[in-house]
Amino acid sequence: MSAPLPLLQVRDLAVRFRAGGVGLPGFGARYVNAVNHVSLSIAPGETLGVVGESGCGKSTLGRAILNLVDAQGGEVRFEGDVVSSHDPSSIAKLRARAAMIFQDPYASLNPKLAIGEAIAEVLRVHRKTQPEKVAARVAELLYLVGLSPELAARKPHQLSGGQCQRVGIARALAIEPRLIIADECVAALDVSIQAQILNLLMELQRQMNLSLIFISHDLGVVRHLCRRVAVMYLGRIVELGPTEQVFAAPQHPYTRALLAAVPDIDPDRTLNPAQLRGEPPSPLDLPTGCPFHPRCPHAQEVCARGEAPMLRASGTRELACHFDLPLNSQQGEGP
Amino acid sequence: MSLLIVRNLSIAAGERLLVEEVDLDLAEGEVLGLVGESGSGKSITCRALMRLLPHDQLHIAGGSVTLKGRDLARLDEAEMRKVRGVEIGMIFQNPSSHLDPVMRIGDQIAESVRYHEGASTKEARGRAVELLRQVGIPDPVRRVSAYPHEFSGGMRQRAMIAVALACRPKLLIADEPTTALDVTVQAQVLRLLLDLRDRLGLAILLVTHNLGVVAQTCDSLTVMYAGRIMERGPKRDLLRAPAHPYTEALLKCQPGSAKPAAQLPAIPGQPPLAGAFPPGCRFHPRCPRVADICRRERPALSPAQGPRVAACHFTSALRAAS
Repeated sequence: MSAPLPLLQVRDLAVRFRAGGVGLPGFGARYVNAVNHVSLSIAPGETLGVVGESGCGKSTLGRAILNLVDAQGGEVRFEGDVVSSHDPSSIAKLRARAAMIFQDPYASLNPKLAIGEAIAEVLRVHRKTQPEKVAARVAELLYLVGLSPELAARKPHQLSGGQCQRVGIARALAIEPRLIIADECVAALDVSIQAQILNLLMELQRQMNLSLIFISHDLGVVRHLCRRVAVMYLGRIVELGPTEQVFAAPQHPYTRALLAAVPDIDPDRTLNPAQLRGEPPSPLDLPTGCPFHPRCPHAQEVCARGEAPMLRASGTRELACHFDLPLNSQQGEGP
Repeated sequence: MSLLIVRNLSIAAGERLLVEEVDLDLAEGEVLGLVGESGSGKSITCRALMRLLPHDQLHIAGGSVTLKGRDLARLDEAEMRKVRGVEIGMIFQNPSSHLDPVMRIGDQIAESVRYHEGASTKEARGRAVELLRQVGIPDPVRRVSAYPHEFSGGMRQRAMIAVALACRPKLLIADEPTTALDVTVQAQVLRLLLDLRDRLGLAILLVTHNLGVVAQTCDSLTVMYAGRIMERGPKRDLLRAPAHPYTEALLKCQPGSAKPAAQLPAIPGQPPLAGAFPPGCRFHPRCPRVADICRRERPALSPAQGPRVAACHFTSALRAAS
């Protein structure tokens, strides 16, 4: 009867970074609140997109889930167990089952290491394969990501960006993960290559029943790839729900503005004249109330006061807004 | 009448040709999109128009660049300096690396006004304020004395546009102007470029890899692949019914155009490295419609449909099939 246990549960996660100041009286330390009270969960085999503009905290969220940055609050549970930075074994266990793919395929590979060796390293560290079988497994992984095993001896600079990204995926797959967090993994690639990598990810995800958290600023890619989507703004999730519903009828004013700003490939749909004004405020200096209120076309007095609205259930999705805006109201309508 | 006419432009690195036989026509008030993947030669084509190629590495190997009836390829360096900034302005992808970090924004705008027009400091400053207002920077009187680091990314891009437009050029070359920006800011900058086109009659050569940006802003389109033009014509025709298999493949592999979660019709393989181009049609190793002739003979750009030209042996067959 009960729903399958979520593979990953994130509750109230908060990450902040020190940004200057020495913390003495009169020289107060300043903090960037990169991730604020983020809660989400992901089931086995599910795909979740995390979208938002630069600085919204989506990458930090991905890193905090894998404990690559310290969280100041909240909890991450993987397969039901709490992952805590005070318990190295819990982190080791998480990282043995969850892998990350990064944006810059060159920067995430050691330039002096042949790519076969880079994959073998993962196999050895995680003791996934008996030493004598490592070479065969490397060849198998290369084949799996669509690279010829003959490339194993090449260095990253001898490969194209798309090929390097495939190596990044092979490294992630080497640990036989249940969860992959892909952080802007196609942003640096040309569209023709991007499509190849997306196809590969979708195929592997299905074959291996992987859970995938796909962090991207590219809404088109997320819509194509992910069943659910979380929209972030200034460190908070403002809307979370089934991708098709969120894209077809966005509820949060920010989601609406974001979707309206994506240039459509249809030549007969012209650039939306009503746009979001200004740019996101500095995360060092967050506005009171709802962080979106200074740019929100629907902002009321209540939005500027107190704490930011919490994520609440609204039909099949979750929403962080004081209002339930009518679904048919004009996108980006001016005040 | 065309403002800019480029004919047969070729660019070479030593003996190797990187860009061949590029033709472009741009009328006043027109936005022409130059589209292609990385390595297709679109950026060096733009630099060649400005004669800004690093001359120890690249040179114009042939062809003409005619701006208002004058062939820029034949001007000497002193004359060319009068063209840059005054007749052609240029903006780039990354404003931070094209604005001087230790010079006030206003001075960077005023510099070219003083140099080219001999304006006084005060006049030039007044123009800088006016330009910042035109590109939509709030409180320009105060912002004119700000440094680039005090601006956000979108404002820096606006400031760079103001610098490029300081001497009222008729042509703006914009090389991936919104690639580094967030979508909401991208929409603002594109809107601004279109407004400037409408207000000033500016012609814009917009280089981009983003077909969505093209669809929303351009009047006509030139698609480049591996240093050659594959197809060019009015935007709507190209996006609605591409005549070249490359344009078609590029449109199809956009995530937005396929059913969610379905496999995307990706283009197999990868673009050739600059200068190491395959014989025959340069797209043939990746083309789904490849035939023997494509491997042997290079197709010429030929009329495909109405005002459109495409470089494909099978353009007419393509049309019949669709």
